[in-house]
Amino acid sequence: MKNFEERYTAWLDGVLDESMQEEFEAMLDAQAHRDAAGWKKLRGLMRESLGPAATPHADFINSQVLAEIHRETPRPKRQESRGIFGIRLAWAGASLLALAIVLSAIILPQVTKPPTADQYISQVIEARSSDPTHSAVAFEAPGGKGAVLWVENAGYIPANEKIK
Amino acid sequence: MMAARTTRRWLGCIAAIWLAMGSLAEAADGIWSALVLATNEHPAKAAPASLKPFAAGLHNIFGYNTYYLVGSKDLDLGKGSAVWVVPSKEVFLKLRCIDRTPTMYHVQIDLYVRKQLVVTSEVKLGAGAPLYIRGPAWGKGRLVFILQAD
Repeated sequence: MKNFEERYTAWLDGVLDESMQEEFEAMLDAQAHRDAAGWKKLRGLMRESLGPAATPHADFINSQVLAEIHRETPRPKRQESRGIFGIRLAWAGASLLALAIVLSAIILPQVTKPPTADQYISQVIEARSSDPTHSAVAFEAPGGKGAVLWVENAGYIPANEKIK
Repeated sequence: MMAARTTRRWLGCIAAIWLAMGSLAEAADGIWSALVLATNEHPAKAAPASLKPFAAGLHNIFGYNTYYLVGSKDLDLGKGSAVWVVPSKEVFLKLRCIDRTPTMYHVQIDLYVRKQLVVTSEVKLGAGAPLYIRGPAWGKGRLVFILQAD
């Protein structure tokens, strides 16, 4: 404590140790001692008359305050559920990814399966006619890839009739 | 709620991939059909551009020296569906797709001449391999159908 005001305040509050108190009181004159006595008396009177006021419905107010504190306090249980939610989401994502991989493994070979040579050849499997005046035969076209459906007696359209 | 939304997104992605792969697996460009009039002319005329790839085959099979394109059409046939190919009121086809793969169509073909069913045939059309159908005579020439899976 460097200055006089600080030491005076501490002396009034009675927080100086014994040696400092004796040293400080030696510095004070009679008027200062009277002022201090008056202050101490006044402080005693104030403490007696200004006690804490009784709060009406204190229990209700306390319960409301506690409820508000409870509402504002983050709940550990919710954090735990968020953790579980995250784990479930990760599992759902992993499951769906696995499903997509399995489906791709099933489908992609079908898509990328190289076609066999006979898939680039045309073939007449069957030809029939309900009218005995018509007949049809099939044979391979020159080059071996195409096919010919040779229809006999398919009819005659005179040249003077438009075909379109 | 967020988990359900995320799950829905995942399922949507998988469904989209599935559909894309399914459509890819079923992808085929269709069938090109043409009605050709084959005749002998002196001098012979060159085949139109769209018939150039078939000119040699037509000549070897049918022996005519001139070919006219009466009409052509690109057909998009799904499995189980049927289409009518009517380049002429006098001669036309009905095609019904029995099955299809990315490179082949399995079809039933009905040839009609003057609205009468002449022949029914079951054919496998490989991609790039033409089917020639000898149709009715027209004047001194012959009508020929060409079907080719693309």
